[in-house]
Amino acid sequence: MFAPNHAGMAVENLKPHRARAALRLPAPAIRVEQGDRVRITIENTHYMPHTLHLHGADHGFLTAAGEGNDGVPTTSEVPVLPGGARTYELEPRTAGTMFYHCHVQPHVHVMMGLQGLFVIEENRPANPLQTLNLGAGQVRAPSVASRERYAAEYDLHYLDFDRQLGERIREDNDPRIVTKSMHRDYDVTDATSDYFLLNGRSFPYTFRESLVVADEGDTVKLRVVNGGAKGIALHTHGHKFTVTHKDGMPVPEAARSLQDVAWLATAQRLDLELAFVNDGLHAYGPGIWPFHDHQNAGVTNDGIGPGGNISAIVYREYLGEDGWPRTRGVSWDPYFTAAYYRREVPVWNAYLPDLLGDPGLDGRLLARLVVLAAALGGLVALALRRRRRSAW
Amino acid sequence: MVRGAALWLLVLALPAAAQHEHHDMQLDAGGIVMNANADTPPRGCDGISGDVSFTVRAGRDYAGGLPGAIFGMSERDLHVPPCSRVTVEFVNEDAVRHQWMVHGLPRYLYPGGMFHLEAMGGASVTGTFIVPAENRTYLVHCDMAQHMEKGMRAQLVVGRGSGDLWAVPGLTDAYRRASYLPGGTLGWLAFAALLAGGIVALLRR
Repeated sequence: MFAPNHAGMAVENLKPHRARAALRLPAPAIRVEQGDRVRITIENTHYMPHTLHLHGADHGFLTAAGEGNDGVPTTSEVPVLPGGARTYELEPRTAGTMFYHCHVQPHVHVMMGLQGLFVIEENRPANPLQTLNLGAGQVRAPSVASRERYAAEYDLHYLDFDRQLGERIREDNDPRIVTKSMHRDYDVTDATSDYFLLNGRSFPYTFRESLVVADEGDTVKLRVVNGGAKGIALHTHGHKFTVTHKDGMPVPEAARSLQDVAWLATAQRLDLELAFVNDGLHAYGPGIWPFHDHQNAGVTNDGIGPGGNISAIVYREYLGEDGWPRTRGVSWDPYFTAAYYRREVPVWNAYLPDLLGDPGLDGRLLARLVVLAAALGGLVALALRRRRRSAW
Repeated sequence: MVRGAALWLLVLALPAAAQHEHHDMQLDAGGIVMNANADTPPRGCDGISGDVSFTVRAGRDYAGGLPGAIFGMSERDLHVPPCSRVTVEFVNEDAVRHQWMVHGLPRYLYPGGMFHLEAMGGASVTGTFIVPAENRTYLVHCDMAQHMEKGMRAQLVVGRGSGDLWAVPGLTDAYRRASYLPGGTLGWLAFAALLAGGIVALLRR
C-alpha cells in the first residue's frame, strides 16, 4: 500500500507476517528535476479507491489526454479503483519542497500515511538525483544545487497517528465493514493523536534512522514537512537555523533570521539551513543535540516519554562505530522494551530504584483487610440468623 | 527516461536481494516464474503420473458475488492426482500485479516450500511444477498486501487432500461469521438465556 512497485512477497514470511524493508510509511520522498516531463503512475493494489494529489507542485488540472490530473474526486476525477491504474503528468516550472498525498476521503487517508515528500530540484546539467528516498532521512545522492552549498541534505517527514483510527483496519476483514468503520463510524472531529513519527519511526528508532550527522564547519540542508493533523513547533538544541524556503518558495534575505523554534502547520514545508559554526549564534560546539517538536505530546509515545519524534543533531566525533551516538546519560535499554511503554517501568527506575522505584505491595495490610472483611461478613451473617430465629 | 529504467531495476532488485533462500527465478517484463520444475519428481513418486493444465484468471472482476472480496481468482478449488506435473497459465486482468503462490511444498525441491507465478497488470505467466505423492491440501494465494484476505485465496488438492482450508471464497465459511449478525446479537442471546433460566428456576420452586 505504501511501497513502490516491487517483486516477490510483501511480507518476510507467512508467519510472523512482518513487512519487508521496502514497505514503509509514509511513502518515499520523490525527487524530480525542474522542467522534466514527469509521469507518475499510481497502481492501486489496495482494496479502497485512491488518487494522487501533487500538493504545491506545478501541474495542470487535466493531462494532455484530457483526464483529471489534480487527484480530487470531488472536482477532477473518479478515483483509481482497486486493481486499476492511472498516470498523472507534470512539467514543473518551479523548484521547491512540495508534498504528495491521496485525496480520497483525505481526512482519513492522509492521516493513515498515504503521503510523501515531493522535491523538485533546480535544473542543472549532469544532475544525478536520488529519485526515491525510502524512509526519508539522509539524501544519499544530493542534487548539484544542493552540493554547491551544503555538505549534506536530509529529508524530515513528520506525522502523527490516532491509534483509534489505525486499529480500525485490523478489527475486521470484510472491506465493507472496514470502510464503514473508517469513513462513517470514525469521527475525525473527536480525534486525538497518540503517536508522533519522524520518517515513519518514533523514538528510540528515530536515532537509528533519522540523525542529522555533520562535522564542525559544515552547512547542512533539512527539508521538513509536517504531514500530521496538528502543528509542530520544531526546536533544535545547540543550534539556531535559518528558514530559507517556505512551502518551496524562497524567503527573501531581508526576512531571514536565526531561530530555534519554527512552526509548521499541517502540510507545510520548510527548508532549513544549519551551519555547524561554533560562534554562539549558529551553534554552540560539538555534541549530541536533540531536535524535536516542542509541544508536549509530540515527545511521547502514547503519553510516555521520552518518545515521539525526538531525534538529534550529532557531530561525527560523537558517533559510535555502529552508527549510534555515544550518549552520556542513562541506559537506553528500557526504551526498547514494550513494558516501558505499557507504563510498567517507574520513570526513574534506572538511577533511583530504591527511592523512586516500584512502591510494591503491602501484603500484610492486604491480608489483614481480607481477614477483617471475612470477620465482618461472618458477624452480619450471624446477626441475620439470630434475627430470623427470633422472628420465628 | 534512463533514470526511470534504472529506478525500475532498483525496485525490482530490492526484495530479491532480501530473499533468505535462493530461489530459481525466471523474470521478464510480464512477470515471474519462481521455482519451476518440469523434470524432477518429489521423493516418494515413481516418476511423473501425468500432466494437468489449468488457466487461472485473476482480478477485480472475479470477486463479484463473493462476500467480502475485492480481488478474486477464477479457480479456487483445484484437484490434481499425486505426482502429477501441473502447468498453470495465470492471466492477470487487472492493471496491477497479482500472484499465484503455492505454499508447503517440499523444501529440498522448492526453496522456501514455494511455487510462485507473478503476472504484471494485463500480462499472463505460465509455469510448471510437480506435486508430491501424499494426499494433501495446499494453500494458494496472492501475497500482495491484503489480496489473500480480500479474496485471492484458493486450495490445491492433491489426491484425496487433507481437508478443505478455511475461508476459501465460495467454498468454505468466512473467518469471522459474527461480523454479519446484527449489532449486540451476542449480548441479547446471553440475556435471553439468563431470562429463560430464571423463569424455569422460578417455575420449579
